[in-house]
Amino acid sequence: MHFAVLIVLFLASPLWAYPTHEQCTDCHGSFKKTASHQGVSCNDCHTEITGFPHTHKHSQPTCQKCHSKASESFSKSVHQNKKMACIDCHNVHSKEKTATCTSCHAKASHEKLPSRAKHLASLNCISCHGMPEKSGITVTVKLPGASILGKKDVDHDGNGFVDKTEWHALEYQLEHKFQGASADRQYWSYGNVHSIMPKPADCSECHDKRTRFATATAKINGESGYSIQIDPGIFIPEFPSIRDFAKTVHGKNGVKCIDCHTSQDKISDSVCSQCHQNVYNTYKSSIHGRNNSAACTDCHNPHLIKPYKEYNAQERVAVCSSCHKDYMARHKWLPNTALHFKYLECTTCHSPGSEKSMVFFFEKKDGEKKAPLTYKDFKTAFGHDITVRSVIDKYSEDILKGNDIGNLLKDLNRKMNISVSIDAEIVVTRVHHDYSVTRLKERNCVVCHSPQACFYNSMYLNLPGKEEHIYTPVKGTLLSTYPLALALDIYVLGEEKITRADLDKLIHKAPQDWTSYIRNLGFKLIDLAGITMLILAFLGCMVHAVLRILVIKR
Amino acid sequence: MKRIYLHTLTIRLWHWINASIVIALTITGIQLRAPGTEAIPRSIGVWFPDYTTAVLIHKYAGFALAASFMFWLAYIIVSGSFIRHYLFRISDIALMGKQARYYVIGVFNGEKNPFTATPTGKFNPLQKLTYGIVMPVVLLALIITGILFSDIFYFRDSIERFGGVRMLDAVHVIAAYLCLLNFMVHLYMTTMGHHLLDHIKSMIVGYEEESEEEGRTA
Repeated sequence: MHFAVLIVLFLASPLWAYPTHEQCTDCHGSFKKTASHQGVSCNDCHTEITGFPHTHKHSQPTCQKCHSKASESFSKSVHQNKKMACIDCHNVHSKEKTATCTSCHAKASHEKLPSRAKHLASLNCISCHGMPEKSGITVTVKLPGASILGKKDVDHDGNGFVDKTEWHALEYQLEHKFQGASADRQYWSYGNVHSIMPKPADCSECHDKRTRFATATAKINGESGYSIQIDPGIFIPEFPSIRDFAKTVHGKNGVKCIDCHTSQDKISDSVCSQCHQNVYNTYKSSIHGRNNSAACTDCHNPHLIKPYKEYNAQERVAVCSSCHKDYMARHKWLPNTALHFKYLECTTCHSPGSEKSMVFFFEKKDGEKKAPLTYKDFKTAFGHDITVRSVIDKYSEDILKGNDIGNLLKDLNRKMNISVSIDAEIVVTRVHHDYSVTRLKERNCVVCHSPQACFYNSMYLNLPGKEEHIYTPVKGTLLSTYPLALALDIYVLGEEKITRADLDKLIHKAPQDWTSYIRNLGFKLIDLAGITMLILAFLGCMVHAVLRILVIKR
Repeated sequence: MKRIYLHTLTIRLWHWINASIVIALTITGIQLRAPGTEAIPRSIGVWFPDYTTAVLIHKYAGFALAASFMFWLAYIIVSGSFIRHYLFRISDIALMGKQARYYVIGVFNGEKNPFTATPTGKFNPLQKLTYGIVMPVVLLALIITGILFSDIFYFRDSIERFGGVRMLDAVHVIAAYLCLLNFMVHLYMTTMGHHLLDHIKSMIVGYEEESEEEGRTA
């Protein structure tokens, strides 16, 4: 009875209705089964066909049922994003080989890849475009004839690891001791071809983070010899500049390694001029450019985090003095040479087209040491949740005046509980790249040492922000008036000489508001009082003399 | 008329050397403080140093003044001149009013100078007071601040203790104005001898011709 029920159920099941493989190939004779799909019948995949002959066109079968792992990887792949199907690469009905990368990407130029030929010759596609599961470098060292290298000859310290020094020693031996020796490198990587990333790995993956090719093995004395671990940094040099590149000015503006580095050659000026055309034109026609004496990168290191505008005067002098080493000797004519170079940069004088500014900054005093205030100091004083900008805004809306800075400084002193003072230097804030002005005939100290000096019209307070320094315009004669006691260190000799304008004010403004006139005059009062005193003394002597003459005559 | 030996050869030599230094410092000092003023003498063909040279002259003349000051101090102490001529005595207080009255009123009425210079005391009380303030206070302040200015880097710590470059400059300039005032009055007072140039002559030859009635002031 039971057996009869099973037969009825079997006959009633859809399985009975599927066409056989032979029935399918009767019509679809061109579809041969691939080697990998041996033992798989048509209706294993084409499950929609339940009768023979089938009356409707069937949809494309999914591979997921059997190839779930590959499908999952593929779902994250760039090819999936491009709406590609398995069948675009895998011809499941034929014995033809699966498509390779070059089947579609035969013309991938990689023109922006630095050291293109070298990279393309050494690496497979997975290395950069995929997520290699295993990768490494194998260096096979072969010696001519029956020569062999002992472990001691390679690993001198016997730690089982060949470092850079040991490798260079080995290279020297191969070159000089063993004629015809070779050391072939192979950069190998295996990975899931289904998970091709939307964007290729950037330089840092190998040259900094080492997510690929993190290990290297040397096979000494050929295939039959012994293996030893070796520093991969020998074959894939580390670029420390990559690490912090995102923090540099270029990095922040979205410039990528490959935008500048097209080869391993030094970056030429033409690379920089692609973006900095105007600056380059000015520079090219200047004395440095005309004589080809310095390329852009000789002065500017685009990998430095610190932007040029945050350099202090001494750091800026260091840039020029890397070539102009005799700058101190050449400026012997300048009184107090060392003092000038502490507070000025070379371009203050040698680039008349640049805008010079007096830049103030806060510095903390720790014993005898003085150091500019950092962002961390600022946060400690004003709290972690507020920005430097908002602190400045509390004191003034856009332009800081003398007493705003005074109040800010007072608060800093109180909140930080250490001695904070204000200092300044005269630096270029808008650079003009023509430094052709040399041997200044003028040598006129009054260009700076007078109240008319150009930098008094362009003053800034420089505060350390989180990302970059914040320059806030400063207005008024901060130096000669309030906050007097705070700004005692900042003083350009001559700034407080009394001027004609001050005397004009004495006649026109002073009678109405004496107190404000005197306050604004600050230290200039000394000159005013001194000159008045001398004039009075002179007149006194004259009157005395005239009276004496009159008495004698009488 | 009698000839009194007032100034030793050493003090006469020192005086004129010191005077040359002070003149050099005054001229370059004015030029440094008020740049542009050199255009006035230049316009009538008088040579004037350029700013850089003026800075150097001022610096080295300043060192010379410091040396000159040290010499003067040592000399007046060693020679006993300090006690004889400079030391302000209690008796001088009473004479100060008299002397002042002479300059303001007496001199015009043909009165006799209440003070007579002698080799044992060549300064009247007002002179003693002036020199007593100018030399050890004003000039010393000028010299000390000047030396600190000569190398701001080297003396950085001292300058900081002093109150910064700004304060240093203020003190230097105030002292300079006071010295200039003293210099001006000093020049005028040289004309107050028996004859107009008597005091100047005495500083050259050492002897001063003095009438029996008149004293000495300079």
